[in-house]
Amino acid sequence: MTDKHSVILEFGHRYTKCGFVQELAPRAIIRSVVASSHGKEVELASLSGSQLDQAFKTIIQTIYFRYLGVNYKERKVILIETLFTQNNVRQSLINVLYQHFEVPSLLIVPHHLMTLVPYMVSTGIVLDIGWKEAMAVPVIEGITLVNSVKYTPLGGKAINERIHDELIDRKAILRKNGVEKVYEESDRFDDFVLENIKVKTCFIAPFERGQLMLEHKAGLKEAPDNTPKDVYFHVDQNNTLLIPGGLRESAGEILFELYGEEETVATLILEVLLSCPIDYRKTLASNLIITGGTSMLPGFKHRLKMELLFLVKKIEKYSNNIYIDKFMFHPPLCKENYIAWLGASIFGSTDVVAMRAISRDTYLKTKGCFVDWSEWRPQPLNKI
Amino acid sequence: MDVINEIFATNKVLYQCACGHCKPLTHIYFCRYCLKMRCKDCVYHEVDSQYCQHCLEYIPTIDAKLKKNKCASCFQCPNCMHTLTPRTFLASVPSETDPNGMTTRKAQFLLCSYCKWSSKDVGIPDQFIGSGGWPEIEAPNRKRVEGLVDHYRVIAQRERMEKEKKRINPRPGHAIHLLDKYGISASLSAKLTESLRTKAYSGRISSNYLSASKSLTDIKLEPSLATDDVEPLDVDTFYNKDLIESEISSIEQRLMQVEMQPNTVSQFYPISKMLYVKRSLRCKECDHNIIKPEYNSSSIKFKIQLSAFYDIPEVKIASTPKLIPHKESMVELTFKNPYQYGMHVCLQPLKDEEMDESITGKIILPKAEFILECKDDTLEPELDSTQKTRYNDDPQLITFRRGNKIGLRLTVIPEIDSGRCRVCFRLRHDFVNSVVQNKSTGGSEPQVSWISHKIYVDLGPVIESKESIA
Repeated sequence: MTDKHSVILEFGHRYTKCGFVQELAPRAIIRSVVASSHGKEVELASLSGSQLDQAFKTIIQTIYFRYLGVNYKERKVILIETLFTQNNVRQSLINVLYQHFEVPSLLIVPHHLMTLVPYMVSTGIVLDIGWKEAMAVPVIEGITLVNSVKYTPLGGKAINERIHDELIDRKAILRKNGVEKVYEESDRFDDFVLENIKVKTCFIAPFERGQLMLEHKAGLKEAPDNTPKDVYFHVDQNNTLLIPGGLRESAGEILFELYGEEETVATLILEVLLSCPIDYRKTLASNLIITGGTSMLPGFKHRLKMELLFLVKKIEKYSNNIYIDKFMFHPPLCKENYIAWLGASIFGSTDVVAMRAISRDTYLKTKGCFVDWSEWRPQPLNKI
Repeated sequence: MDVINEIFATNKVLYQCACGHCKPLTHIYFCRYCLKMRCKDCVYHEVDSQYCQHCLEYIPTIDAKLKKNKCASCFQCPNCMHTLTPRTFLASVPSETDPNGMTTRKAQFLLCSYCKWSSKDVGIPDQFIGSGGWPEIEAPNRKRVEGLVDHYRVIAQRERMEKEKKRINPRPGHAIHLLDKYGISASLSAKLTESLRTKAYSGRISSNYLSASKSLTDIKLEPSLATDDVEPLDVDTFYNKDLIESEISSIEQRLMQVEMQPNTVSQFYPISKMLYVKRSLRCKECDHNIIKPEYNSSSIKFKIQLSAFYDIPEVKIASTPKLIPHKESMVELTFKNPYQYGMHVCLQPLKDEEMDESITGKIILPKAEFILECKDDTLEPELDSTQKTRYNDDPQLITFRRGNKIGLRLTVIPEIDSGRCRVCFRLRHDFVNSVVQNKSTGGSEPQVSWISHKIYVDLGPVIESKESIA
């Protein structure tokens, strides 16, 4: 069993990463979707109950046979989950893995701690900005401060929505079968097209530019001139979209626009700092770790740094409480969208897996009762 | 296409598998060892062999593991995912024997015949034939990650040692400690207490020695250094230059190359073809193979194939009349025996506890047993006139008999006012097992056993009678 490397799975809201321990990158990053009976793709996150079980069976089988080429009965499994993994999803996954696939043992590791592994640091704030939400998790000497975890629904999905709305607002021109028309609600492209518009054309504007856009939005100033160039985007054979240059810089602004009490990606970090012990604030602020696919947008980190510096000086709520003039980021060891996976790959190649993983026998003995992530050992069902 | 779907992928007649799923006959396996239906959810799927879908080469599992499940010689276009074809040409290179002269050598580059992407485009040097494969791209930070693995291994080892020490050590120490505590050691012989003490001591020593064998100082690895020097956005490129969409990679293209995730088309690199898997299936109950393909990757044949449509009578709907709610109508079903032995078949109603909500009609089943002839490829049914007289068929029940196929007329009463009428019955038949020999008769006689299957038949929508609405 020892020479057979364990399998690492991470089911994200948007993308699923799979591969083996001790490797430098996942074997594949695939979309977290399954084909429904009507031939359409259904997101795993939208399912529940027996449908979810069935979906996990399908996607895990695809992963094992198409991307990994191994038998599931021979490999231990390491599963990466975030703090906010729903109980029913985790239970469904555990059941499917142990009962249907009969994996020899399973270890569930928390996403934010795995993110710290490649950096060899034990104190820091992990900012995970993925598809559904942005989440900042403070970790002090390896201990997660669960009470101080902050999250907000800003992520890839929010940007996609913004792109769609702005295409309508800015009256983008769509050439459909050679006829030009204005993009309307009914023309809505699916998320994959919107995602490619984001990936290919959008970026995060520098801080000063962001301020100008904010002032314009508040109606104080004219729209900033010297916008980026418009781009022709080929959706498919028949459709070409002329993406307005203004959209390219403003779509990502949704992550940083501060209205009243709302959260931005930057305030998330400051709120975390505010709720952390005062002695640790400086250490935490100089150990920021950014992960998640959305953070790969060009200019994101620089903008985040500038926003943090601005907020901490100018906004009373923060300037009166946080006396920090430097925010330090850890340079990523790999692409930001699989840092936690890499962490698990390193973590999983040690003896720890053998020690902490729950074998199938134990699972069957305890009748499949598992507790929360912080202490995930199964509890026997003694209570009646 | 629709005709094919009608014949092969019809969901009208469903067989219930041993695990409770209802599937059409074509999706079901029949395990001849435990005589049960199996579907894809209740069998083990195993990797049988791996092959490259392009060059069709069979690759042994160990090689596949070393090459990370990738074919060494076939590549995929990073742009459109089509297979790349190597183009060979004669390149002039400096001669090895004559320093001034030039010789020609066969060289290759990779070209996509679909989107015309080529390895020349992105500046990948041509490969000379015989110089080995294309160079692989090294993942970034390989050394660092390997160092990290060693580092964490030592930590994990230390953790395990401590755990084991806790588990093993207290015992000898514990005993002597207790003896001391209650003053018993004084009453024991000096020799005994001494030996106990040394035992406890040596246990501690050995584990200390082990944990000291490897230390973190051997691996010199600094933790990551945080910096506030973050690369700003390249304002000039994004604001002043035109962006050509086709030069930027899409998210799908990026994820094809997980390690590098190139932002622009110019950073693309040929992708090794992923190996495909031939699966074998194994019964979860008796561990016998149900499907086992041949190793030869170009062969579509199987060594073992226990699909249900080879063994189990196939039920089809021949004709459905108008289904009027709560009225009797006659339905014609056909039964076909695909097996090499004849079968005695009888239809049985469901027991009350087996009924479920999806059953919306009542079917009246004949009590009599009938015989299905074996499948005989050489037989020409039209010419076999004796068949009709051979069996004493009730013409009220059996509409026709042709070779291994018969038609049955059955009465159905829909029990709903609208919607689809589904009926369910049990098909019971004997099965002559040619694989498993009967042990009691010394292995010469094939074993005969009776098996039954639950079959759901969807007869289609009932006619909503206008009178009942009015």
